[in-house]
Amino acid sequence: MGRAAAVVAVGPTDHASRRLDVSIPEMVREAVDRCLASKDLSFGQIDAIVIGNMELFEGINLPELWMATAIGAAGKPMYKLNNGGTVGASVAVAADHLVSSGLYDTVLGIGYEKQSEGETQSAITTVGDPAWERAVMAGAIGNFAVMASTYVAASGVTPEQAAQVAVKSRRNACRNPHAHLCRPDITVEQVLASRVLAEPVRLLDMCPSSDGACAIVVAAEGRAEQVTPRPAWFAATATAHDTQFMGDSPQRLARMRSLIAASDRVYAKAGIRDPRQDLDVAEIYEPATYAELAMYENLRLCDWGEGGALIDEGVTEIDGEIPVNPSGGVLATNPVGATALIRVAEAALQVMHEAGDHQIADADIALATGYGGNAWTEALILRGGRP
Amino acid sequence: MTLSEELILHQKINLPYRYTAGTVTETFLEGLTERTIRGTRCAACGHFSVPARPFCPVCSEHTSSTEDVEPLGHLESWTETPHESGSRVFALIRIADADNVALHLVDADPNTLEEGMALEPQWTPDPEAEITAIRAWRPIRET
Repeated sequence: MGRAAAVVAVGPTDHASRRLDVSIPEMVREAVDRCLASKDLSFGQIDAIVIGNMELFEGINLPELWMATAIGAAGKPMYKLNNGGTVGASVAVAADHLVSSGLYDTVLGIGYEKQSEGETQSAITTVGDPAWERAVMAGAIGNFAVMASTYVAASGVTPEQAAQVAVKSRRNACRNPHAHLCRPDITVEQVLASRVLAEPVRLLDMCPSSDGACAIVVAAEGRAEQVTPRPAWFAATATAHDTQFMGDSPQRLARMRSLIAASDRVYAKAGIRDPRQDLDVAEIYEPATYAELAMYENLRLCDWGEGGALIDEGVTEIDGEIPVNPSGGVLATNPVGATALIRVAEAALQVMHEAGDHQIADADIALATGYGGNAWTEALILRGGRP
Repeated sequence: MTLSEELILHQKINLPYRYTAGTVTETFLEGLTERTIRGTRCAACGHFSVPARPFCPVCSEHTSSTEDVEPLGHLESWTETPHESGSRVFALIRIADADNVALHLVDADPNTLEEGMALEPQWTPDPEAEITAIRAWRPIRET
């Protein structure tokens, strides 16, 4: 155990299917400027930078080289991560490690993706095993649909229950000024009437493709309290990996081995015995409605097979017992390289009591997760108040 | 085991690519279509960059507006690269009174080049909004 570290500032961009008003460096700078300005910070107070995205999605390579001036990186230590949808959460975990280890006092973490500039599904297809899965894999959606089918078979969740997750997300998004998809009047019927992408996943069951970025500042105990009166302390973080080869874990959504491993570890570290009781809010990386229901079970918010009942009972609604994704989540906003960092940033805002219209009253302890490449999970517990 | 070419998988990945230039770069690129070169001066530290760029390369400050510059370059250094269709000269050129230099091509016999030599842009007949609107730079002949 090192010294305590906390998220002290958060900066989201605006999100859209196509941000034609900014280049990639300008979009990233929008997040960094908002993050630093929110707590009156400047580049001079940043000791090191951690940055992540999925650059193949935009068809570029080592963009940090030509966008260094946009993020104030020239002359500073910068660490770059690239590990799929998980990357934003990995950025936060790495920033925590760099600060809690004593290496740096103040670290800027950045995640971004300008998905409109490339072919995300082509890039995702290259993630498959080259000799077997790549040639028969159909991007993210087909992959999720296969996993969703196995989850439906295992749990008995219904399309109506999945549709309720879609409705919750797009309504919550209307309380978040930075969310991409706000649909105040969306109904279960509309979700069920949207076209099938791949059984059982319909268009409105799936996350969008967004242009956007997110930045956070992580600071050490002593420094953190100078920046903000109520920092979001890292109470526990865990990283877990699994094999990606589909056939090696056919119950993939029904039993998410890396999510179970990572969440069990952070629950143990943070002293959480009953997550549904002990957590005040969760911001989880749910790429599709069925995935969110499965994650309720894998995160032990309910018993196995009870994910559908949890949404039926309104337990995870913004006014429920354990609100899940009050920001609207991934189903509302999804710039992949930033998406998992947005989960951490939103969890931080909740325990900092700065989440605005989607604030959960008196939130003290929040869970955030990152999920990528089917196999890679980060789990984090953030706590408000004292470290 | 014998290594065989037949054991190598050949796959093609279609990866179309678009890039939003952003406000300042867009102004620079639009200038090229009018045979105009633009730079940016940092309001914080005074650094003058040609071509125009959205963030100061020295202090990371946002730049806001561009300035049209004299289409005059000076040769800082160069290299000759052999190519099937004749050799090419890649050069670092200081454009107008910029504080930095820019990488571009020089169209001249490399044996005639000298450090500090004055250069002028050679525009394509119908310049598009890309840096290749300047086909190359060439030495300004003494008159």
